[in-house]
Amino acid sequence: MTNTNLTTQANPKTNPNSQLQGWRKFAGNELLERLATPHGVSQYLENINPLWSLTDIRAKVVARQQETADATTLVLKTNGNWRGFTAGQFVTLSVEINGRQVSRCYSISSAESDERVRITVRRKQGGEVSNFIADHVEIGDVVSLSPAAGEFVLPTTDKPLLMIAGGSGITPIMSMLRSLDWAASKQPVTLMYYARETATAIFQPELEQLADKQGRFVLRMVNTAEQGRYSNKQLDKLVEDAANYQTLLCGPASLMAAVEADYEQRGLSDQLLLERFTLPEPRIPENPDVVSGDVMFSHSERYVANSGENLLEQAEAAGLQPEFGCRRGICHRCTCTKSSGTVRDAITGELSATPNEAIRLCVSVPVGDVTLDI
Amino acid sequence: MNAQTDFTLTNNKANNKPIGNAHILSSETVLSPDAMAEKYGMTAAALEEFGTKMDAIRDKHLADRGDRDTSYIRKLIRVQRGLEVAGRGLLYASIPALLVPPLAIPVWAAGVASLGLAKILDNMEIGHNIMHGQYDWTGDPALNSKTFEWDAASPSANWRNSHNYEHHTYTNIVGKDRDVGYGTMRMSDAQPWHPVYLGNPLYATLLALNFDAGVSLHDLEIERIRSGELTWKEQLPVLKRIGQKAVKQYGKDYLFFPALAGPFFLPILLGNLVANGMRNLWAFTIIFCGHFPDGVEQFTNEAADNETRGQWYFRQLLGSANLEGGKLFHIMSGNLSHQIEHHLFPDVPAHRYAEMAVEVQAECKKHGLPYNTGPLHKQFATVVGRICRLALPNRKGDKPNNESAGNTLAAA
Ligand code: FES
Repeated sequence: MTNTNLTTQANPKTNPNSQLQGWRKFAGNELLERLATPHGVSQYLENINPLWSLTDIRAKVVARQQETADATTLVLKTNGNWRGFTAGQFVTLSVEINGRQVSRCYSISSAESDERVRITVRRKQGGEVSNFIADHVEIGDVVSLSPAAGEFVLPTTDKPLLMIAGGSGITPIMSMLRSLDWAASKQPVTLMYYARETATAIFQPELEQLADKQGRFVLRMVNTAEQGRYSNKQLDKLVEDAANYQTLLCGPASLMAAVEADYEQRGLSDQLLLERFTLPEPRIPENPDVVSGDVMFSHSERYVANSGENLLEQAEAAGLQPEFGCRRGICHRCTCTKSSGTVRDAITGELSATPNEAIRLCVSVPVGDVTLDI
Repeated sequence: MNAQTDFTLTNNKANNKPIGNAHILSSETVLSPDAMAEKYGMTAAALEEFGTKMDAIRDKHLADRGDRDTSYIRKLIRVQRGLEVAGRGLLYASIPALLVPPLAIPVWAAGVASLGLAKILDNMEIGHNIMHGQYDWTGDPALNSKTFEWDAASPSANWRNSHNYEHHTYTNIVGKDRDVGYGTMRMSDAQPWHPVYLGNPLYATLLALNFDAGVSLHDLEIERIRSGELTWKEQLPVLKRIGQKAVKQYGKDYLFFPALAGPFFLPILLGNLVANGMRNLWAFTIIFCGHFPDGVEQFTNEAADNETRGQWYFRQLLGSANLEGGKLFHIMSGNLSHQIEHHLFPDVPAHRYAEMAVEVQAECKKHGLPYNTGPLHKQFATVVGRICRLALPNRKGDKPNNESAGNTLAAA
């Protein structure tokens, strides 16, 4: 079983080994860089137009499409630093919300050959970025992207393909369906698509059209309100001889768990490729006063049980030697990136669960599990 | 307010030894924490209340950070880049203008002025403040304290260490805050006199003219190497960074840009030299007005030990002085004209200091505390006075520089 877990992916905003192309090659030449030191040529260009960055992948929103009442597609025109993607992959999208860059991972929904990159986002209750995209991102806005990443891509196999999608888990699968060369082979493709009601199923009209047009594509819409949730019986009813298929799975946690368990029972786990699509929204633990959880130091691959002390003490106790100065929040020398988890500011008492946030170790006390990028 | 508000330096493993010249005379002008509190009639309870109030001001502004701050600093960066490009452009434009000689000089001078202003903005309101971490919360890599590099000789990594840590933690503690005298000058009565300090005014002038290089060398802590506290080997990474930055920085200003002008190498080089000098003089003036005007207190070594938050705020207030002026003046000074607010709230975006100053002053008035402020010419005159006076040994009848704060707020 291949498991591409979004949470374990790094969040590289820049594209360090990208070879500059076109006019960027000239702009980034050695002499100009020497003249532009210490800020670098890119900074001057970005001041005129953020899309002219030599280092970052930026994209302009050229259209918005309302897919359903709560799902929006952003159509993006990427700048010259974009190096393409393989259908099924995701990007980290950063938007600026009240002066602060906030990032989330989203699967790409467009075809590999599409000139524009499409990202389809469903509004989540309390989701900072999904709601911002739904309500505030306008045509002409510029967003930042990471290079595409992820292992959830079409496997090379002659076996028929079974795709199981639920909710916004349809997005990477839609990208695959849009990218498939339908004329090239006879490989049958079946999609089981779970939705609470058909009005909320993203891309349903396009999928129905595809099923009409392509004989080798079978669409099985599963309305969970009427037909119930995934079960072993349901699979056998809708797909003949599932054991023959290579399965691709992406959807909410409950669907994923049910399919995984069933495939294990059937002894088919190695024919299941899945994408843990639903990232938990960062949230503050229920009892912030109880000392609990682990502190993970992802870069040095160490972890310790949370002792309730500040993170600088805990890092040192774990044998790390982070930089420090004042040890009381003044000098910012101990600043590093918290990739996930909640910390309490020892001075203000404020709790923060924002992922990929710069924190000062010496005045941050972990509340539950915390992962640091050191 | 959280129970963990009080913190101490007792767990400070590496840094219990004083920095630099450890032979400090005991002197009435250098205050211990008790003497500080007594002189200004601050009881423990009053200090606690003052600290709580300062924390409240800080929290309020931190919570309010947002678009306003990000837009402000980005706009300033755009202006700075514009001035820089325009300045360099005008320097080159002065070459064809040579055909009409009376035109060449004003064009050249305008270029120098524009480039000098760009460097001042880059180093002060933009660089200094970003490198304090005032914009780290934005998550924008271009505004990140750890990656920002300024248009000056000193490598930012070295500077952040000496400045953010040593100077802001041990502010005005003679012997620990290396900004007191920059290792070469005598800036406190508590520093023992030596004939070498007869050169005080000369050193000050040289430092002012070469301020960015001075700041760069300052981080090498040569005086601590000489005294044996540090070895050259330990300081090798610092030295390496200084060298690398110097090659790039001086290469740009004094080699590559002039070389682009071919036979007109010299006027372009001169333009860069004057622009850098402009920035140096201005930065020196503003920065020395932050901690050395009359009325500013200096402190003994134990001041930072076991200090409560209230005591820390109190020390920052007594150890800093403000400059009065208009909005443009504050921007050009990197809001270090609000040195008091900067020392109280070093990581709050500096363009908010003017608003915070009103709240801080009200609090000072309530506690009858001094709030040292004055126009630039007045404050700087007292700094020059101090530099000259301390060139000579202390004399009986000298009035210590922490009295005669003619421009402090009267006690309520
Ligand atoms: S060590 Fe100075 S802020 Fe943490």
